[in-house]
Amino acid sequence: MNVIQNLLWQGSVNVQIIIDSELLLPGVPWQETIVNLRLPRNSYLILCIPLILKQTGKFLKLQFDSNTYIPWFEFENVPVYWNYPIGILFDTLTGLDPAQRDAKYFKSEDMIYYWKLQLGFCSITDCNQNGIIPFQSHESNQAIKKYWIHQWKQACFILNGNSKKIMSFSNNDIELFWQSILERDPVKFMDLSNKIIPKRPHRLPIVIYQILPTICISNPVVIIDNTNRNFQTVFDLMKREFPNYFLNVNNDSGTYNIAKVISNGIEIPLEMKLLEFYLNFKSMDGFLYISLSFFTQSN
Amino acid sequence: MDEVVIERLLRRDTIERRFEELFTTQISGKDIIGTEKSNKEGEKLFNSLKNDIRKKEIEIYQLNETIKMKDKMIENVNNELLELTIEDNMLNQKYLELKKEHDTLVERWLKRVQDQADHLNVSNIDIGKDN
Repeated sequence: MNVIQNLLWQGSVNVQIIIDSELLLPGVPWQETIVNLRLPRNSYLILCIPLILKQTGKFLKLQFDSNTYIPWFEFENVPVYWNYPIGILFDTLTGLDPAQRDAKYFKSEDMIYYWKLQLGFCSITDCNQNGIIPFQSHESNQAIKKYWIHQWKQACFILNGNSKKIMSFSNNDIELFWQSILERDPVKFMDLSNKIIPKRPHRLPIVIYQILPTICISNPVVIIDNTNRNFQTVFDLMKREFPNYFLNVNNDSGTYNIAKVISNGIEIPLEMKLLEFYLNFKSMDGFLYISLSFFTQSN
Repeated sequence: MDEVVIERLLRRDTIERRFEELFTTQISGKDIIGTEKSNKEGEKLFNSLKNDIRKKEIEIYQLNETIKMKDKMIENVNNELLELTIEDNMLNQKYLELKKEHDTLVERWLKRVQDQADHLNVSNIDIGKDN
Protein backbone atom coordinates (compact mmCIF):
# COMPACT_ATOMS: atom_id res chain seq x y z
CA MET A 1 0.00 0.00 0.00
CA ASN A 2 1.51 3.30 -1.10
CA VAL A 3 1.29 6.66 0.70
CA ILE A 4 -1.72 7.85 -1.33
CA GLN A 5 -3.66 4.64 -0.79
CA ASN A 6 -2.88 4.79 2.91
CA LEU A 7 -4.08 8.40 3.19
CA LEU A 8 -7.24 7.53 1.28
CA TRP A 9 -7.91 4.50 3.48
CA GLN A 10 -7.45 6.62 6.63
CA GLY A 11 -9.70 9.46 5.35
CA SER A 12 -12.64 10.07 7.67
CA VAL A 13 -15.31 12.71 8.13
CA ASN A 14 -16.84 14.10 11.31
CA VAL A 15 -20.57 13.42 11.25
CA GLN A 16 -23.17 14.70 13.68
CA ILE A 17 -26.40 12.70 13.76
CA ILE A 18 -29.55 14.25 15.15
CA ILE A 19 -32.70 12.27 15.81
CA ASP A 20 -35.99 13.62 14.46
CA SER A 21 -37.55 15.31 17.54
CA GLU A 22 -40.97 13.77 16.81
CA LEU A 23 -39.50 10.33 17.43
CA LEU A 24 -38.23 11.14 20.91
CA LEU A 25 -40.03 10.23 24.11
CA PRO A 26 -41.75 13.20 25.79
CA GLY A 27 -39.42 15.24 27.99
CA VAL A 28 -36.20 14.00 26.39
CA PRO A 29 -34.07 17.00 25.39
CA TRP A 30 -32.91 16.54 21.80
CA GLN A 31 -29.40 17.69 22.76
CA GLU A 32 -28.97 14.45 24.72
CA THR A 33 -29.69 12.35 21.65
CA ILE A 34 -27.02 13.85 19.40
CA VAL A 35 -24.48 11.30 18.23
CA ASN A 36 -21.09 12.52 17.01
CA LEU A 37 -19.26 9.96 14.93
CA ARG A 38 -16.04 9.94 12.99
CA LEU A 39 -16.82 7.80 9.98
CA PRO A 40 -14.37 6.49 7.39
CA ARG A 41 -14.99 7.85 3.90
CA ASN A 42 -14.49 4.32 2.61
CA SER A 43 -17.38 2.77 4.49
CA TYR A 44 -21.19 2.68 4.54
CA LEU A 45 -23.43 4.94 6.61
CA ILE A 46 -25.72 2.05 7.38
CA LEU A 47 -22.98 0.35 9.40
CA CYS A 48 -23.20 2.99 12.13
CA ILE A 49 -26.94 2.47 12.73
CA PRO A 50 -26.45 -0.17 15.47
CA LEU A 51 -24.09 2.22 17.31
CA ILE A 52 -26.56 5.11 17.00
CA LEU A 53 -29.43 2.95 18.22
CA LYS A 54 -27.32 1.65 21.07
CA GLN A 55 -26.73 5.21 22.26
CA THR A 56 -30.16 6.65 21.56
CA GLY A 57 -32.54 3.68 21.50
CA LYS A 58 -33.73 4.33 25.06
CA PHE A 59 -34.91 7.81 24.08
CA LEU A 60 -36.95 6.68 21.07
CA LYS A 61 -40.69 6.07 21.01
CA LEU A 62 -40.39 3.38 18.38
CA GLN A 63 -39.44 -0.24 18.61
CA PHE A 64 -36.61 -0.05 16.13
CA ASP A 65 -35.94 -3.79 16.19
CA SER A 66 -39.39 -4.49 14.77
CA ASN A 67 -40.03 -4.98 11.06
CA THR A 68 -42.44 -2.06 10.89
CA TYR A 69 -40.08 0.90 10.84
CA ILE A 70 -37.13 1.54 8.56
CA PRO A 71 -34.31 3.87 9.66
CA TRP A 72 -33.04 6.34 7.11
CA PHE A 73 -30.80 9.41 6.96
CA GLU A 74 -31.67 12.83 5.68
CA PHE A 75 -29.51 15.83 4.79
CA GLU A 76 -31.27 19.18 4.29
CA ASN A 77 -34.56 17.40 3.53
CA VAL A 78 -32.92 15.11 0.98
CA PRO A 79 -32.81 11.35 1.67
CA VAL A 80 -29.28 9.99 1.88
CA TYR A 81 -28.96 6.67 0.11
CA TRP A 82 -27.31 4.05 2.29
CA ASN A 83 -25.90 2.01 -0.57
CA TYR A 84 -23.13 4.45 -1.57
CA PRO A 85 -19.82 5.02 0.27
CA ILE A 86 -19.84 7.82 2.85
CA GLY A 87 -17.12 9.80 1.07
CA ILE A 88 -18.97 10.20 -2.21
CA LEU A 89 -22.25 11.00 -0.41
CA PHE A 90 -20.50 13.70 1.60
CA ASP A 91 -18.73 15.20 -1.45
CA THR A 92 -21.84 15.29 -3.65
CA LEU A 93 -24.58 16.19 -1.19
CA THR A 94 -22.59 19.02 0.39
CA GLY A 95 -21.51 20.19 -3.08
CA LEU A 96 -17.90 20.05 -1.92
CA ASP A 97 -15.46 22.41 -3.60
CA PRO A 98 -12.02 21.65 -2.06
CA ALA A 99 -10.64 25.08 -3.01
CA GLN A 100 -13.43 26.88 -1.16
CA ARG A 101 -13.20 24.49 1.79
CA ASP A 102 -9.44 25.02 2.08
CA ALA A 103 -9.79 28.81 1.79
CA LYS A 104 -12.39 28.88 4.54
CA TYR A 105 -11.15 26.25 6.97
CA PHE A 106 -7.45 25.59 6.47
CA LYS A 107 -6.07 28.57 8.35
CA SER A 108 -8.96 28.99 10.82
CA GLU A 109 -7.95 26.50 13.45
CA ASP A 110 -11.05 27.16 15.56
CA MET A 111 -13.50 26.18 12.85
CA ILE A 112 -14.92 22.70 12.88
CA TYR A 113 -15.74 20.93 9.64
CA TYR A 114 -18.48 18.36 9.97
CA TRP A 115 -21.56 16.89 8.30
CA LYS A 116 -24.92 17.19 10.00
CA LEU A 117 -27.41 14.41 9.30
CA GLN A 118 -30.85 13.65 10.65
CA LEU A 119 -31.95 10.14 11.45
CA GLY A 120 -35.59 9.36 10.86
CA PHE A 121 -37.76 6.27 10.81
CA CYS A 122 -40.53 5.58 8.35
CA SER A 123 -42.88 2.77 7.50
CA ILE A 124 -42.09 0.54 4.53
CA THR A 125 -44.78 2.19 2.37
CA ASP A 126 -43.41 5.68 3.11
CA CYS A 127 -39.92 4.43 2.27
CA ASN A 128 -41.06 3.29 -1.15
CA GLN A 129 -42.71 6.65 -1.78
CA ASN A 130 -39.49 8.52 -0.91
CA GLY A 131 -37.36 6.28 -3.13
CA ILE A 132 -35.41 4.82 -0.21
CA ILE A 133 -34.47 1.16 -0.42
CA PRO A 134 -35.98 -0.35 2.74
CA PHE A 135 -33.95 -2.55 5.06
CA GLN A 136 -34.45 -3.84 8.58
CA SER A 137 -32.25 -2.13 11.15
CA HIS A 138 -31.34 -5.43 12.83
CA GLU A 139 -30.29 -6.83 9.45
CA SER A 140 -28.41 -3.75 8.27
CA ASN A 141 -25.03 -5.47 8.40
CA GLN A 142 -26.19 -8.39 6.25
CA ALA A 143 -28.09 -6.15 3.81
CA ILE A 144 -25.08 -3.99 3.05
CA LYS A 145 -22.75 -6.99 2.91
CA LYS A 146 -24.90 -8.60 0.19
CA TYR A 147 -25.03 -5.33 -1.72
CA TRP A 148 -21.25 -4.89 -1.41
CA ILE A 149 -20.55 -8.40 -2.76
CA HIS A 150 -22.77 -7.66 -5.78
CA GLN A 151 -20.86 -4.44 -6.37
CA TRP A 152 -17.60 -6.38 -6.37
CA LYS A 153 -19.07 -8.93 -8.81
CA GLN A 154 -19.97 -6.09 -11.17
CA ALA A 155 -16.57 -4.43 -10.75
CA CYS A 156 -14.84 -7.77 -11.32
CA PHE A 157 -16.85 -8.30 -14.51
CA ILE A 158 -15.91 -4.88 -15.87
CA LEU A 159 -12.23 -5.28 -14.97
CA ASN A 160 -11.74 -8.85 -16.18
CA GLY A 161 -14.58 -9.46 -18.61
CA ASN A 162 -16.02 -12.08 -16.24
CA SER A 163 -16.70 -12.55 -12.50
CA LYS A 164 -14.70 -15.76 -12.10
CA LYS A 165 -12.14 -14.25 -9.72
CA ILE A 166 -14.67 -13.14 -7.12
CA MET A 167 -16.86 -16.20 -7.66
CA SER A 168 -13.90 -18.43 -6.86
CA PHE A 169 -13.54 -16.81 -3.43
CA SER A 170 -14.49 -19.19 -0.64
CA ASN A 171 -17.08 -18.12 1.95
CA ASN A 172 -14.21 -17.69 4.36
CA ASP A 173 -12.40 -15.35 1.94
CA ILE A 174 -15.56 -13.28 1.45
CA GLU A 175 -15.98 -13.08 5.22
CA LEU A 176 -12.34 -12.03 5.67
CA PHE A 177 -12.73 -9.46 2.90
CA TRP A 178 -15.84 -8.00 4.59
CA GLN A 179 -14.19 -8.06 8.01
CA SER A 180 -11.26 -6.09 6.59
CA ILE A 181 -13.72 -3.24 5.95
CA LEU A 182 -15.46 -3.52 9.30
CA GLU A 183 -12.18 -3.71 11.18
CA ARG A 184 -10.47 -1.13 8.98
CA ASP A 185 -7.60 -3.46 8.12
CA PRO A 186 -5.95 -2.07 4.94
CA VAL A 187 -3.41 -4.88 4.53
CA LYS A 188 -6.03 -7.63 4.52
CA PHE A 189 -8.22 -5.55 2.21
CA MET A 190 -5.44 -4.90 -0.30
CA ASP A 191 -4.37 -8.56 -0.29
CA LEU A 192 -7.85 -9.73 -1.22
CA SER A 193 -8.77 -6.89 -3.59
CA ASN A 194 -5.50 -7.38 -5.51
CA LYS A 195 -6.66 -10.93 -6.28
CA ILE A 196 -9.63 -9.44 -8.15
CA ILE A 197 -8.05 -6.39 -9.81
CA PRO A 198 -5.75 -7.30 -12.70
CA LYS A 199 -2.52 -5.36 -13.23
CA ARG A 200 -3.61 -4.33 -16.72
CA PRO A 201 -7.41 -4.12 -16.78
CA HIS A 202 -9.15 -3.55 -20.11
CA ARG A 203 -12.08 -1.65 -18.66
CA LEU A 204 -12.53 0.40 -15.48
CA PRO A 205 -15.61 0.53 -13.24
CA ILE A 206 -16.23 4.25 -12.75
CA VAL A 207 -19.27 6.12 -11.43
CA ILE A 208 -19.62 9.86 -12.05
CA TYR A 209 -21.97 11.99 -9.94
CA GLN A 210 -23.19 15.30 -11.13
CA ILE A 211 -25.59 17.32 -9.00
CA LEU A 212 -25.84 20.46 -11.13
CA PRO A 213 -27.84 21.42 -13.18
CA THR A 214 -29.67 18.15 -12.45
CA ILE A 215 -28.78 15.10 -10.38
CA CYS A 216 -27.23 12.59 -12.73
CA ILE A 217 -25.29 9.39 -12.04
CA SER A 218 -23.44 7.93 -14.99
CA ASN A 219 -21.38 4.80 -15.51
CA PRO A 220 -19.16 5.60 -18.50
CA VAL A 221 -17.56 2.83 -20.52
CA VAL A 222 -13.84 3.29 -19.91
CA ILE A 223 -11.65 1.12 -22.11
CA ILE A 224 -7.93 1.13 -21.37
CA ASP A 225 -5.74 0.56 -24.38
CA ASN A 226 -2.84 -1.45 -22.96
CA THR A 227 -0.98 -1.64 -26.26
CA ASN A 228 -0.62 2.11 -26.46
CA ARG A 229 1.93 3.71 -24.16
CA ASN A 230 -0.05 6.96 -24.03
CA PHE A 231 -2.49 5.89 -21.37
CA GLN A 232 -5.76 7.75 -21.14
CA THR A 233 -5.82 10.66 -18.70
CA VAL A 234 -8.61 11.92 -16.47
CA PHE A 235 -9.00 14.83 -18.89
CA ASP A 236 -9.54 12.46 -21.86
CA LEU A 237 -12.41 10.77 -20.04
CA MET A 238 -13.96 14.05 -18.91
CA LYS A 239 -13.60 15.66 -22.34
CA ARG A 240 -15.39 12.66 -23.86
CA GLU A 241 -18.18 12.53 -21.26
CA PHE A 242 -18.64 16.28 -20.67
CA PRO A 243 -17.30 18.15 -23.71
CA ASN A 244 -19.00 21.39 -22.63
CA TYR A 245 -17.41 21.44 -19.17
CA PHE A 246 -13.84 20.35 -19.92
CA LEU A 247 -11.99 22.25 -22.63
CA ASN A 248 -8.32 22.11 -21.62
CA VAL A 249 -6.00 20.06 -19.42
CA ASN A 250 -4.97 23.29 -17.72
CA ASN A 251 -6.46 26.73 -17.79
CA ASP A 252 -3.37 28.45 -19.24
CA SER A 253 -4.37 28.57 -22.88
CA GLY A 254 -7.13 31.15 -22.63
CA THR A 255 -10.12 28.81 -22.57
CA TYR A 256 -11.29 27.72 -19.16
CA ASN A 257 -12.87 24.55 -17.84
CA ILE A 258 -16.08 25.19 -15.97
CA ALA A 259 -15.98 22.05 -13.83
CA LYS A 260 -13.43 20.15 -11.78
CA VAL A 261 -13.08 16.52 -10.86
CA ILE A 262 -13.46 15.65 -7.18
CA SER A 263 -12.74 12.32 -5.55
CA ASN A 264 -12.20 11.49 -1.89
CA GLY A 265 -12.49 15.15 -0.92
CA ILE A 266 -9.74 16.51 -3.18
CA GLU A 267 -9.51 17.98 -6.66
CA ILE A 268 -7.91 15.51 -9.07
CA PRO A 269 -5.27 16.86 -11.51
CA LEU A 270 -6.72 16.37 -15.01
CA GLU A 271 -3.39 15.17 -16.40
CA MET A 272 -3.36 12.16 -14.04
CA LYS A 273 -3.35 8.78 -15.80
CA LEU A 274 -6.76 7.14 -15.58
CA LEU A 275 -5.41 3.72 -14.61
CA GLU A 276 -3.27 5.22 -11.84
CA PHE A 277 -6.28 7.22 -10.69
CA TYR A 278 -8.41 4.09 -10.51
CA LEU A 279 -5.81 1.94 -8.75
CA ASN A 280 -5.18 4.54 -6.07
CA PHE A 281 -8.61 6.06 -5.58
CA LYS A 282 -10.98 3.09 -6.01
CA SER A 283 -13.54 2.59 -3.30
CA MET A 284 -13.93 -0.47 -1.08
CA ASP A 285 -16.55 -1.89 -3.49
CA GLY A 286 -14.20 -1.90 -6.49
CA PHE A 287 -15.74 1.16 -8.15
CA LEU A 288 -14.10 4.54 -8.57
CA TYR A 289 -16.48 7.34 -7.53
CA ILE A 290 -16.06 10.79 -9.01
CA SER A 291 -18.12 13.93 -8.43
CA LEU A 292 -18.14 17.10 -10.47
CA SER A 293 -17.84 20.51 -8.88
CA PHE A 294 -18.37 23.69 -10.88
CA PHE A 295 -16.12 26.72 -10.79
CA THR A 296 -17.68 29.72 -9.12
CA GLN A 297 -17.03 33.37 -9.87
CA SER A 298 -14.53 33.58 -7.00
CA ASN A 299 -12.55 30.66 -8.52
CA MET B 1 1.91 14.38 -9.67
CA ASP B 2 1.95 12.20 -6.54
CA GLU B 3 3.33 15.07 -4.45
CA VAL B 4 0.40 17.27 -5.48
CA VAL B 5 -2.13 14.58 -4.59
CA ILE B 6 -0.43 13.82 -1.26
CA GLU B 7 -0.30 17.51 -0.39
CA ARG B 8 -4.02 17.89 -1.18
CA LEU B 9 -4.91 14.80 0.87
CA LEU B 10 -2.87 16.06 3.83
CA ARG B 11 -4.59 19.42 3.57
CA ARG B 12 -7.99 17.67 3.49
CA ASP B 13 -7.07 15.61 6.55
CA THR B 14 -5.88 18.68 8.47
CA ILE B 15 -9.35 20.19 8.04
CA GLU B 16 -11.40 17.03 8.45
CA ARG B 17 -9.43 15.90 11.51
CA ARG B 18 -9.98 19.12 13.40
CA PHE B 19 -11.76 18.44 16.73
CA GLU B 20 -11.86 14.71 15.93
CA GLU B 21 -11.66 14.06 19.67
CA LEU B 22 -15.31 15.17 19.90
CA PHE B 23 -16.41 12.42 17.52
CA THR B 24 -16.58 8.74 18.43
CA THR B 25 -14.61 6.47 16.14
CA GLN B 26 -16.56 3.42 15.14
CA ILE B 27 -14.29 0.40 15.36
CA SER B 28 -16.35 -2.43 14.04
CA GLY B 29 -19.96 -3.24 13.34
CA LYS B 30 -19.31 -6.63 14.96
CA ASP B 31 -18.34 -5.09 18.30
CA ILE B 32 -21.57 -3.18 18.54
CA ILE B 33 -24.19 -5.75 17.74
CA GLY B 34 -25.47 -7.62 20.75
CA THR B 35 -23.19 -6.14 23.38
CA GLU B 36 -25.93 -4.74 25.58
CA LYS B 37 -28.16 -7.43 26.97
CA SER B 38 -28.39 -6.41 30.61
CA ASN B 39 -31.46 -5.44 32.61
CA LYS B 40 -33.88 -7.45 30.48
CA GLU B 41 -36.88 -7.00 32.79
CA GLY B 42 -36.54 -3.22 32.82
CA GLU B 43 -36.08 -3.22 29.08
CA LYS B 44 -39.25 -5.31 28.61
CA LEU B 45 -41.29 -2.90 30.75
CA PHE B 46 -39.74 0.06 28.99
CA ASN B 47 -40.58 -1.38 25.57
CA SER B 48 -44.18 -2.11 26.56
CA LEU B 49 -44.51 1.52 27.80
CA LYS B 50 -43.10 2.70 24.50
CA ASN B 51 -45.70 0.59 22.70
CA ASP B 52 -48.40 2.18 24.84
CA ILE B 53 -47.18 5.62 23.89
CA ARG B 54 -47.19 4.62 20.25
CA LYS B 55 -50.78 3.29 20.51
CA LYS B 56 -51.90 6.50 22.27
CA GLU B 57 -50.24 8.54 19.56
CA ILE B 58 -52.12 6.60 16.90
CA GLU B 59 -55.34 7.18 18.89
CA ILE B 60 -54.58 10.91 19.09
CA TYR B 61 -53.92 10.96 15.37
CA GLN B 62 -57.24 9.21 14.66
CA LEU B 63 -59.14 11.58 16.98
CA ASN B 64 -57.52 14.55 15.33
CA GLU B 65 -58.65 13.19 11.99
CA THR B 66 -62.24 12.84 13.35
CA ILE B 67 -62.11 16.43 14.63
CA LYS B 68 -60.91 17.59 11.24
CA MET B 69 -63.80 15.76 9.54
CA LYS B 70 -66.35 17.20 11.96
CA ASP B 71 -64.91 20.68 11.46
CA LYS B 72 -65.44 20.20 7.77
CA MET B 73 -69.07 19.14 8.35
CA ILE B 74 -69.67 22.22 10.53
CA GLU B 75 -68.20 24.33 7.79
CA ASN B 76 -70.60 22.74 5.29
CA VAL B 77 -73.60 23.46 7.56
CA ASN B 78 -72.44 27.04 8.01
CA ASN B 79 -72.14 27.44 4.26
CA GLU B 80 -75.66 26.11 3.82
CA LEU B 81 -76.98 28.48 6.50
CA LEU B 82 -75.31 31.39 4.79
CA GLU B 83 -76.81 30.35 1.48
CA LEU B 84 -80.32 30.17 3.00
CA THR B 85 -79.94 33.58 4.69
CA ILE B 86 -79.02 35.14 1.36
CA GLU B 87 -82.01 33.45 -0.28
CA ASP B 88 -84.27 34.68 2.56
CA ASN B 89 -83.01 38.24 2.11
CA MET B 90 -83.70 38.12 -1.60
CA LEU B 91 -87.21 36.76 -1.06
CA ASN B 92 -87.93 39.47 1.53
CA GLN B 93 -86.82 42.11 -0.91
CA LYS B 94 -89.07 40.65 -3.60
CA TYR B 95 -91.96 40.47 -1.14
CA LEU B 96 -91.55 44.15 -0.26
CA GLU B 97 -91.46 45.12 -3.93
CA LEU B 98 -94.61 43.12 -4.68
CA LYS B 99 -96.36 44.56 -1.62
CA LYS B 100 -95.56 48.05 -2.79
CA GLU B 101 -96.85 47.25 -6.29
CA HIS B 102 -99.98 45.73 -4.80
CA ASP B 103 -100.63 48.83 -2.64
CA THR B 104 -100.20 51.09 -5.67
CA LEU B 105 -102.65 49.01 -7.69
CA VAL B 106 -105.22 49.02 -4.85
CA GLU B 107 -104.85 52.80 -4.50
CA ARG B 108 -105.30 53.26 -8.27
CA TRP B 109 -108.37 50.99 -8.26
CA LEU B 110 -109.93 52.85 -5.32
CA LYS B 111 -109.33 56.16 -7.03
CA ARG B 112 -110.92 54.82 -10.21
CA VAL B 113 -113.99 53.49 -8.32
CA GLN B 114 -114.25 56.84 -6.50
CA ASP B 115 -114.14 58.68 -9.81
CA GLN B 116 -116.86 56.41 -11.25
CA ALA B 117 -119.05 56.93 -8.15
CA ASP B 118 -118.59 60.70 -8.34
CA HIS B 119 -119.43 60.63 -12.04
CA LEU B 120 -122.58 58.55 -11.34
CA ASN B 121 -123.66 60.96 -8.60
CA VAL B 122 -123.24 63.92 -10.89
CA SER B 123 -125.31 62.12 -13.58
CA ASN B 124 -128.10 61.30 -11.07
CA ILE B 125 -128.31 64.93 -9.92
CA ASP B 126 -128.58 66.09 -13.54
CA ILE B 127 -131.40 63.56 -14.23
CA GLY B 128 -133.32 64.78 -11.11
CA LYS B 129 -133.13 68.35 -12.25
CA ASP B 130 -134.51 67.46 -15.69
CA ASN B 131 -137.52 65.67 -14.15
